[in-house]
Amino acid sequence: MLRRDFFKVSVATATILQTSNLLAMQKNSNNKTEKTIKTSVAICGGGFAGLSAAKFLKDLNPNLDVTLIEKRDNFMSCPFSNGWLGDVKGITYESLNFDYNSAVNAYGYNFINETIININTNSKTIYTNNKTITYDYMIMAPGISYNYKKLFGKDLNKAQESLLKAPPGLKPGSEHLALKRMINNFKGGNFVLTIPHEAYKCPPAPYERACMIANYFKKNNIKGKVIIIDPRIKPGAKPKQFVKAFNEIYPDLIEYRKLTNFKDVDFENKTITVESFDKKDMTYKTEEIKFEEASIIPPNKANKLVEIANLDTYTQGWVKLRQPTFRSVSDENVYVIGDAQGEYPYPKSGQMANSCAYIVALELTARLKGEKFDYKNNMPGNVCYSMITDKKSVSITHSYIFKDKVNVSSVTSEIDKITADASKTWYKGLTADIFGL
Amino acid sequence: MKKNLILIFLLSSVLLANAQTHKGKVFYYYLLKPSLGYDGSVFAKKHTDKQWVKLFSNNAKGLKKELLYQNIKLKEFLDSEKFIEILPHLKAFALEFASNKKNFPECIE
Repeated sequence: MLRRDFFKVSVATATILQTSNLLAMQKNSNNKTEKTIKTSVAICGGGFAGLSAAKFLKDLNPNLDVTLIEKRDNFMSCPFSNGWLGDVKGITYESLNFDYNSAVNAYGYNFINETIININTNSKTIYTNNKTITYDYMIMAPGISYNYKKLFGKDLNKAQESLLKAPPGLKPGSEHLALKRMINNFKGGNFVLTIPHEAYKCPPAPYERACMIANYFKKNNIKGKVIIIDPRIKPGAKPKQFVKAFNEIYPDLIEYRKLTNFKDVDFENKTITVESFDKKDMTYKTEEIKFEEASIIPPNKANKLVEIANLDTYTQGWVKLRQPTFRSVSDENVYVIGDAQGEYPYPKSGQMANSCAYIVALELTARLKGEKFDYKNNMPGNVCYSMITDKKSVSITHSYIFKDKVNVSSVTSEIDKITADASKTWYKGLTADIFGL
Repeated sequence: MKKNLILIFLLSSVLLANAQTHKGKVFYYYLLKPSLGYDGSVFAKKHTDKQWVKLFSNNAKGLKKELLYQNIKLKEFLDSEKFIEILPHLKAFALEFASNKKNFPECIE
């Protein structure tokens, strides 16, 4: 398929999906239409964490009134999206996108497709553009916000320009479509990916993305190079395997610049200023790198809804919780799951969001019955897959135990086909489960 | 005297404002870890942020004493200009990851 045909199809499909979605929502009896709504459990955010929490709560308590509030009218998966960027066979725009109707119909929770504008935890009230929702318990699963201030200070224009011209691609939707366009139209030169030194959503994502862009260049004979700017000593996830992929699978296509910090970008002259650590002199040296396209990831923090709800956060912007629970230190009727939590050493991944949502659903169910819940013997688990080539992937699994604090152990796979096959089964299984497919 | 104090305050403010946690981490890794033998996260977790502030005060007198107690071979480095140069970054790193703070770990392996 020609590139422009692909976009015609993608746009047409997206339009059809959106139209059918809205029509179905109007017919859906679970779509709350009143102006003032009372619910037992309000869930803010319909990503992996929010959808999983809603599903598990209804599984465990069919009569419980659960309301999911989400501003987007369709769901786009970030897991697997790098495969789409790299044109991996079988991963299409459609396979990343889902409608909320199927989940709402399958599990029978309420769905409010609106943007939250205010939250008052004292009066237990959530305000959207058109509705006022009061709750007994609130589960916040709002995801991340970008912290451009840490890159550009008060220069809001630079932040806006960077978001538009060098999208970070950690949030679903337009950023991914922009990256896809940038890759498809790429004629040659440097494609620069910059990684922040602080925590960000999905640690392996930029390294996987580098592999997938290189994969695309290789398949399409594009004379380009992916340059990764990383402040770390080694990749922040699956380091041995990613370094092996850079050196052995894509030696001419990926340049991994470790111990290098992003300093600034000049979009007019297409240069990125970096500081590289020189081990000889033990100093940082400034240099400029030319680019044709770039994806600049700023440091992340918990979504701004957390600020709106006045929840206490750590200095890096992630939410403080009451150990060993998922309840906010600011309000014990507010739970925080998914990428926004900052209490536990849990990777910000789709599987981890699903796993923590299950624990919160179990705890809330016990709480509603007046029973105690043993958090320490109900720890989450994680698996995270990264595509390296069309047919090979690498995975990491994390397991946790609670001994005074959360302790983690992990196993990383080889780069192989079995892992790639397992990743497809995992993705299909998880999305089928939360969307009731 | 007053002018000098203001100058010192301004200078240290500028140095602190430019201090970068991640640089402190890298400097620790290459300049101190080989002599101390443990990771930066272990180093930072040895004290609370208040204790670190005290240890770094007065040209890091307290810190120097503590590090020399662990490895006397560090003396030359601790007396060097390089140590003074990296101090703001090292302090930013220690404060950020102090025992009473929650750093946010990445995908741990």
